[in-house]
Amino acid sequence: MISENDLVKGCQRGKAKSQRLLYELYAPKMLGVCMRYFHTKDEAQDALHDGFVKIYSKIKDFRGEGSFEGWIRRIMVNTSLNLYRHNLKRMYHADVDDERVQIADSSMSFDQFNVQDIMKLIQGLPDGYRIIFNMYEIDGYAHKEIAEALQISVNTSKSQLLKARKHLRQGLEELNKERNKI
Amino acid sequence: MNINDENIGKLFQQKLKDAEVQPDAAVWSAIKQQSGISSGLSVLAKAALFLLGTAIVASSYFLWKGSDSDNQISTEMNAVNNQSLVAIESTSNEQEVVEKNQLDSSVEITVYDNQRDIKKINNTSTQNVIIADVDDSDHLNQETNEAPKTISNTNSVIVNTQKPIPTEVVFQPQLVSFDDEDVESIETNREDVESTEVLTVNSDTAKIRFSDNPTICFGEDAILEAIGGEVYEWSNGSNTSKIRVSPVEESTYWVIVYDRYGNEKKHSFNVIVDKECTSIFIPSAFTPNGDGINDNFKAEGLGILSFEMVVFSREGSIMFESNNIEMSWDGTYRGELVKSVAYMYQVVYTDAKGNTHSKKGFVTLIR
Repeated sequence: MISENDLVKGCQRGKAKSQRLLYELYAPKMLGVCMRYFHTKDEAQDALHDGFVKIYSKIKDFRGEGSFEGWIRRIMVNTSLNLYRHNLKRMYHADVDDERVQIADSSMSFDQFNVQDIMKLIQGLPDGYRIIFNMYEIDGYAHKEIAEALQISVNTSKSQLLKARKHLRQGLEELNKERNKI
Repeated sequence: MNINDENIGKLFQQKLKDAEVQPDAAVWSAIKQQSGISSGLSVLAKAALFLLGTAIVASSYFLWKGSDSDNQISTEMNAVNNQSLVAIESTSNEQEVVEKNQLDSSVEITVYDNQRDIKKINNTSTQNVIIADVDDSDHLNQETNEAPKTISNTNSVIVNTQKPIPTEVVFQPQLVSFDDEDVESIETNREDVESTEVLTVNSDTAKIRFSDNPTICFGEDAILEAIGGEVYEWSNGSNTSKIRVSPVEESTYWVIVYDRYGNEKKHSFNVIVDKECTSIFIPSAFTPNGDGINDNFKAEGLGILSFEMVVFSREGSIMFESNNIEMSWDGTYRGELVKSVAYMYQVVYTDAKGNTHSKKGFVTLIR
């Protein structure tokens, strides 16, 4: 059985077989990552493409420090961010909504939502909210890292995250209401 | 599980972290082309070839003995089918250790860790936790091939120490679960994880304190304060330990305080505005541009018996004068809009108890 280590070594030596295997192993999961950063699958596939091209050219530099999947994931996230970078400036002007505390609908169960529902909600978020929510909540970046990557302040990152969470919760509540109607 | 703004991230993470979406076939062709990967048989085709190969091996073993490439295909196919690689195997060892100790029932949870982390936990451990120095060289060995970062993360995930223990929560070891999601989160490198609610071992949240709910007069500021945390997230977006708010009606503000382990504690402040008491609010700027927002300069007051206001220019001319608090200055002088600078005002008013107060200040005209 081939280990991750051998797979990486194969790719580092430029073996076509290993390169393909790497893609087969990780592409679906990584497209799952990219999807979260974009509105559509097409955009996400562009990022996946760029990401894998980068992986094959950079894999020589992978020293086995840290998990390999983590390394791939980071490349995917960075690639996705790069595709956005040209319009980073305008993405934080999403509506500033009120700060009132809203009481969450406690009757709602999260289990009723499937991955597609959730993915759609995330994809529907405004760019800034979506990217920060993804980086922080799902891909495990710290606010400081996000701030550096997006060239924003730590506080902006934090407040955008709060708003994104609220947005998503409201999205879930609406979805829940719609379903209960039917 | 119920959903609120605090756990929504965690819930989304669980659902989406490993979500898979099948890419279109065209993506691979494009990647292959751009990365200069030579095309060959697809893995599926190779697998078919391998099966065929094995069949032939059964009948004529010697003919196929030298075929190295086929053996290699078989191992690679295994890798495809069994995606749980080194990291997961090692984690399942650890899981066994924990479960065994639970059976002993004298130990509620066993925390093994590298030396540094044990110290950290000892310093702040709660009485619910018994820390046993398990010889973990075996299952850490595999991990040490990886970056040190991964090791410390592994340890913290296993104990799930990163969640606040609300002090009243009873520790329930039977709820400990090490499912796939826990294993997966090993690979996250987050410093401020919000982890599962069940397992909580170690926290500073008990030290977090909040100021009382204030009552303010209309127009006054209230200071809300949380202490003892590392990071503060207020509902108004502030990140300081203390915020100053000036609501005009009863309002609720909340803060999430994170301690140094990333545990969080949420607290809501209710600011009551007493409209009975005498107070006065005089804005520091106004914008007479006709947009309907702060076009006029006007004092706001409650419980005021008498009122006088005079606005001067820098040169000392009286721009506006009134003895009625409802009257406002529109920023004009003799029918013309005045310069966009600061003007001085003096207000003299009598409060509900009959005491007279005087207030001086500046108001800036902004266009």
